[in-house]
Amino acid sequence: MSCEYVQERISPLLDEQVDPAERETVLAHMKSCRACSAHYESMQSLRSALLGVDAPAMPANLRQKLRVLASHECARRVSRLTMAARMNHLRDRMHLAFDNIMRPFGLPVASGLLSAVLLFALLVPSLSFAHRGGADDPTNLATYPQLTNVGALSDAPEIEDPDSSAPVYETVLELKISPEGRVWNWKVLQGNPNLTPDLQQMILLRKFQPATLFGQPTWGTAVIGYRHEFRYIVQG
Amino acid sequence: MATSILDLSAERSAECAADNDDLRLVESLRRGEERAYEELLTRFQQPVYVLALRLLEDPSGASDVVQEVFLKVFRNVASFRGQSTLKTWIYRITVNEAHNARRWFFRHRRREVELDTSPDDTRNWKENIPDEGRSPFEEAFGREQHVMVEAALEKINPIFREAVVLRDISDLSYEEIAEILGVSLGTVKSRILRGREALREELAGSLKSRPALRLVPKTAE
Repeated sequence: MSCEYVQERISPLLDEQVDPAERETVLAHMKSCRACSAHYESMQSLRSALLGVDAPAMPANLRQKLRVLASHECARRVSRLTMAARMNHLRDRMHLAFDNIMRPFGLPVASGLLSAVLLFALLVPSLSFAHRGGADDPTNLATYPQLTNVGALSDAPEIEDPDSSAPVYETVLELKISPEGRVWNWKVLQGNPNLTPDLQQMILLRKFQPATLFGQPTWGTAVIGYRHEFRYIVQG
Repeated sequence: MATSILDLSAERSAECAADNDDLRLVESLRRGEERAYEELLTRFQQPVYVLALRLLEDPSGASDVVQEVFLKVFRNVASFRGQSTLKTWIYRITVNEAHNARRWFFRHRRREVELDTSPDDTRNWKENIPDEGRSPFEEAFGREQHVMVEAALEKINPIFREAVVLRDISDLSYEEIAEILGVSLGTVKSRILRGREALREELAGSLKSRPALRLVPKTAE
């Protein structure tokens, strides 16, 4: 048996890939041949050196990439199983896209709302003012017509507050006053609808201070009650 | 004799269990079960990375190859018929991808200059923790030995390297290697023999005075 033949069998011998008879022959040859024995030993050392080579650990980023890849592929496969799964997948994707669009606005909107409420709560005490219970404050933004010229009458009329007295009027008229302060029309609310000529004249000659709205003269209505002594009551 | 028969039957039952396990895993992958994807990665990501790294000796290239391999596995798992084991199927894809990457590298990237930082910067902190179980001398010697083996692996013919890596690092049987490489059993034996001889020569040349490796130089008859 030649050394070349034996040395070719050494590698399979290490892997137990030679039949038992051949194995015995090769081992017997190596006992007598120093060169083949040395060859065997060096091959054995090489094999143990190869087996002892450290297995390098995978880089962490590669592990991460593989997990992402697996996740994508898993979702892709599930989405293709049935039509319902496809629809679900599509719906999930749309939901995710909507979430991704809206999420950046969530924090600014919430913080904006919160700060507005906080600011309002801080400012409300300083904005509040005392109220007089029930009564309206005159703002002078809108005024009613008022009598200005009553001196021509012999029996001077007296303006009264209709609320403070409880008079019994013979006639109550509703006058429409133009922005120039003239009586434009009248309507009898109470009493004889046919006014006497004196009364008509007196009404037409009256000069009123016209009603105003935001400082500008405008159309207004005045209610006048009179008795025989010509006591006028003007009511807005 | 009885013992050998028992051993044989135990081996067969183990193989059957492994096959059933593979088929169960593949079926779960087809159904898109998330746990199956996790299990596949847990079982194969590290061995596939080591194999790709040993075939290419380039960490970034190996990372690309591993991603390509798992992408192909996930996409083509439906076409896996169970004619081979899942392991050999995945390893075959890895070997083919590494082969393609090597060809691409020689065509495109041979003249590129590596600008990456040292590998220590990209490694996990756990890898940098010293192993207190070994003395500094052993550590240094072991590291030096590994570096020499890795360097020798790089120098040998890629065809032989594939066979040696699959046998001595991935610890596969001759039959599995034949299936992965798509060659006959005799060719596998021949490639492993030639690869080991080439490695032995490379290492004998550089480690003549290293008795710790127990490498004895050839003497003339």
